[in-house]
Amino acid sequence: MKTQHPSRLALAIFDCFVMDNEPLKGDLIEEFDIRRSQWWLWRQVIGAVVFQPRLHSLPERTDLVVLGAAVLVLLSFEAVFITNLLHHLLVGPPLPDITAYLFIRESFTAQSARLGPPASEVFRTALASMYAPLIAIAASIPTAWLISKFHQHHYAVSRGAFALSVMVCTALSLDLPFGIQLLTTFVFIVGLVMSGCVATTIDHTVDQRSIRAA
Amino acid sequence: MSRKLLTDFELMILLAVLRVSDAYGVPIAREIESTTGRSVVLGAVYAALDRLEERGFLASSVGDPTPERGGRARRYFRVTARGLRAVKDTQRALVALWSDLPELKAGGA
Repeated sequence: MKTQHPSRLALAIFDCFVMDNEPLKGDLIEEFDIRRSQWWLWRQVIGAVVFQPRLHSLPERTDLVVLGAAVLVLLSFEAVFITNLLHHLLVGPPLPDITAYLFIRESFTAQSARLGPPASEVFRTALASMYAPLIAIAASIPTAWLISKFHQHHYAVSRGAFALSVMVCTALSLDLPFGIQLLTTFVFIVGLVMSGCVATTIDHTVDQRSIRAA
Repeated sequence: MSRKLLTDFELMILLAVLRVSDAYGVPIAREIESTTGRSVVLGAVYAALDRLEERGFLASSVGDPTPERGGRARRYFRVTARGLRAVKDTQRALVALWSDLPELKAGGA
């Protein structure tokens, strides 16, 4: 038996993207333990993701279309909200129905006035750049959690839809440096994937406990 | 005779299941690799096994979980009567295609 352990990241990716295939995962662990390398394991995990059984029935395809549309609508709403928030932070008046934002806006305006024109410009950009990834994380986590809970058997497609939707966020980001847009997009995707994986892991743990209890 | 013949990979899978005694993912893949010299991805093997089971050519059962596999059970496969008929039909078709080819006869170019 080998002393080296199979890559946890590879197995975590397997758990996230391969639906309901514990025997395959067991085979990978068994074979790795006897004679294989990490490189072999990674190749097998990528292959397992790629060679998932295809969907054949019309209801499942319809389900996916509805899921994709719901994700796009939800994330477009978030993208518009984030963009408006940042735009008002940099330029326009505050949104009256978000009292927390008003507090931020007032504090921000006071800071800018103290600093003077060139420094306030840098300060505004820095503040918006700091908020953008945080808002992206805050938006991505509950979205990924909800979608993963509702669609437990469409991991890879769900995450693919999220990734496409993130392009909407990036395209609508206004008045931010390009590097910050990229960072925000990256943070958003990471938040979606991580949150989805956590939801998946919890679901599997609950299922295992139910099986043992039965 | 069944109208749908097996693809080459499906045929290899069924033959490997017939050849090994305890047929689950690992020995099936090893049998294909050792006899064909072709490396296989276990995910592709399982995808083919699932397809063949859906078509009624294979039946599967789940064994007991083992600690060597992280507490996961093995999924054993066996060829059904229908699967055996599909293998024979495919064999007949391939043998018919292979026969009497001058290029493949001894001394042929």
